[in-house]
Amino acid sequence: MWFNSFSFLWFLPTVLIGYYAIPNWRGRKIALLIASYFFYACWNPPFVLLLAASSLIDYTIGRTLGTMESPGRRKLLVAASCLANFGVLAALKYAGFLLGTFYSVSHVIGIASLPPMPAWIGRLVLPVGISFYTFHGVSYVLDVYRGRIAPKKSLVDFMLFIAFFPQLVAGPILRAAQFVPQLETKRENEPIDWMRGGYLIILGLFQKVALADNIAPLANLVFNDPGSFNTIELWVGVYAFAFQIYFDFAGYSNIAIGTARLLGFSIPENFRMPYIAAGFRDFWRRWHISLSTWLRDYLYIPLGGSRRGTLITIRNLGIVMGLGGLWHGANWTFVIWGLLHGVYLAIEHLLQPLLERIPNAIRQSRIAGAAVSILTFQLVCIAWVFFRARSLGAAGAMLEQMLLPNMLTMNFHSPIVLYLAVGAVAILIGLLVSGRDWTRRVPAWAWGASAAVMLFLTIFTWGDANEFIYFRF
Amino acid sequence: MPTSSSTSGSERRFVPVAALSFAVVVGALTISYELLVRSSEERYGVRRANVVSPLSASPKIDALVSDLAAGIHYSVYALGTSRTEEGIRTDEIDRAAGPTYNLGMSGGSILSGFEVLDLLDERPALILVGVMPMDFTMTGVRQGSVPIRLARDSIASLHRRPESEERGPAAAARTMTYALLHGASPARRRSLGQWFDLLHMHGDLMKFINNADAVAKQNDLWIRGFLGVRRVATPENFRQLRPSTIPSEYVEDHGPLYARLEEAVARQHSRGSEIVFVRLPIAPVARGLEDAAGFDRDIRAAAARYGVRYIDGNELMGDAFIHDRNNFVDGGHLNAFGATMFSRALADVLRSSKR
Repeated sequence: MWFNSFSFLWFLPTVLIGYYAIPNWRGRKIALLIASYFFYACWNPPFVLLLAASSLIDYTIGRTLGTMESPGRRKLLVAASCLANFGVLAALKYAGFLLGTFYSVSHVIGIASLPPMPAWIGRLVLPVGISFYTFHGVSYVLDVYRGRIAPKKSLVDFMLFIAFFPQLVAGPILRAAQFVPQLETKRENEPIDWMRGGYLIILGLFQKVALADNIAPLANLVFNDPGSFNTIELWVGVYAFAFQIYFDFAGYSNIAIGTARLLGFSIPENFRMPYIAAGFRDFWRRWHISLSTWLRDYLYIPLGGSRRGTLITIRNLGIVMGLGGLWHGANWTFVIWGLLHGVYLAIEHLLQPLLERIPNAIRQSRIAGAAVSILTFQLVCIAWVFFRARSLGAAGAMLEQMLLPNMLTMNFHSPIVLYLAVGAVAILIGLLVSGRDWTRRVPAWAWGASAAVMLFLTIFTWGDANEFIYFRF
Repeated sequence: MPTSSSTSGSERRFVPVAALSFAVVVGALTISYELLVRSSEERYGVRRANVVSPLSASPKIDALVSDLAAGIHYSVYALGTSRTEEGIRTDEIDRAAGPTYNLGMSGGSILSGFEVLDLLDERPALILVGVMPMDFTMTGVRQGSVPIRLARDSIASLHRRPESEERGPAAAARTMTYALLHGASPARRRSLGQWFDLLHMHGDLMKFINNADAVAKQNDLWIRGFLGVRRVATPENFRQLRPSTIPSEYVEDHGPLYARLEEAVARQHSRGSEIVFVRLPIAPVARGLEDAAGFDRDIRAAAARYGVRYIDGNELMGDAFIHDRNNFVDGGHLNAFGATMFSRALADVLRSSKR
């Protein structure tokens, strides 16, 4: 079931009515758990068993960790949880990628007599949301292991933490410490919470349906046949993709946060206007915040973070960002995208002492801030080329043409001009409505009117009905 | 908007004012637009928009997957690279061998084409395999993984039940919404790009709402996977082999890849498909380079070994055709005119062999 479908239009009110009609808090949680499993089953029913099995394993390991004192055995349990969670993820998501890489490497080193790649590899179906709920489960076990949270006694609460439908298939990635305490007490909403939830749902749908889906044709046009476009057109296509993926994912996150709000739950924000970031540390504090903080807390810091010298820091940034890229998809394009961000972060880290020598008056001026933001955005866009391109070769060829301008082939096609204009309008609207501060400052009537205009545009200017990009990860 | 959950006096005022303004604005916009749509329908009737929703990044695979999901199957598939995609015109082959779909995909390999057919579980009566040296290079095989991934994406997307197939309460919600709001229905909905097209072309708003100008812009020569290119080769690129980076791989040992092709051919034979290898017409310079690498000898031998018919496009079309750059986009690809001529000739051969 997709947030931008009639099924969800029916599903959400039904769940809300049923949920609030139950007076008992435990009953509400059970109802919510059933609804969440139903929501997931609408995509592919058998995979509900995988979700349940994954939850049961982590619940059992968490409970056992709570009673076990032997450090060796505790580590063994954590390893078992990682093996179970990441093993399933690796088998279903990365088997083809790993085998394909093995075949390519074998060819390069001269081994040509391998049997053909098994046909079943191509038939594997990636369960929707597995990358997200795997991270939920692993973070819970690690937090229990480190003593940050007590193991959850209630199986219903734990299963609901993993399967809570607003965030089940595309995040934000929840931490047990953020969500589980909310399950202790009955959730109630004030009228303002209903409005806030509703507003976020409308904003999210608008970002997805009216903005991302309307910008998508421009990005698709350029990325599907980059050889047909000149330097400027390619940059336009890349900018279009940058905003498409932002609106797509931020839209999903806003719908998820809004839906949770209607149910009385609070989910942390996942985006904070990332394209105004000044530098890459700042960017990752604003983009997919739940993933970047997960990687920071469960990978970067355990590896030593930035406290063990420059070389170790750079190594850690490479590992974390490379794996972060791989998390997005089983393709070298994603790995290179992640590694490129690792390189950006490493360079920023190395330049830090030099930057600190610049007088504050210059460093903190608006012009310098804007210049750094623009530079950051350009470099982020260069990285998006790898994320979106069909192959490393295609990305390389596209970047070559983008960075070595050949204006002789200037040949602006009229559709691209049209889409450019549509994209510009959409981006402007999107930036206006995405600024949380803006919504805080406006009077009530403008707030209501803006929600109304967004809803109207969502209903009547539906773009090509793409699924959310992050459903694939 | 206040952000705290505590209910202060200002928040109590905020909620009704915001709700009222929301209701008034959404009502005013929706009702006025809906009246416009209905009056347009009265004046011009109802025409359906021709807008295909993409499932994966490939319209070619999406269109095929959608057809298969709708129960439309093809008797003939053309597999291959961009040479096939741009060189085998489906509507010409239809007449000789039945409904045809061109699955040729730029930069790949016929091996990936066979895998896509397997993924789709298709058993056509005839498979036209547009062979070229790149099919037997690792570059072709690597690049060919892309269409396989796209096919998987596209097939997986079918799990997403399209709006029109939603049942039960969702279908009732859909029916009710579209009954109330004609402008929101798929036949009436306009994307921002279409609105911009209208403004750009100074179109008639009322006609636009009824699809007069709202049909999605598609390449006018995109016919079931066949991509007709209207350009004519320049004297320079007519003498070049494209892609120019490939030839070093043409002379490597292709044994393992021919073995994979043999396996794919045997599999399709066992499923009852007839297979024909077709070497599309290319310019003499490109042909000379490819044959110097032994491709002509190898592919003829392979066809004989697998019991597959082989049609050489250059032989079929003759010297006058292949020396005329007006039939080509460049040295390795037919243009729309050349593709039409060649496909007619190919259809004649297929028809005569049927008799």
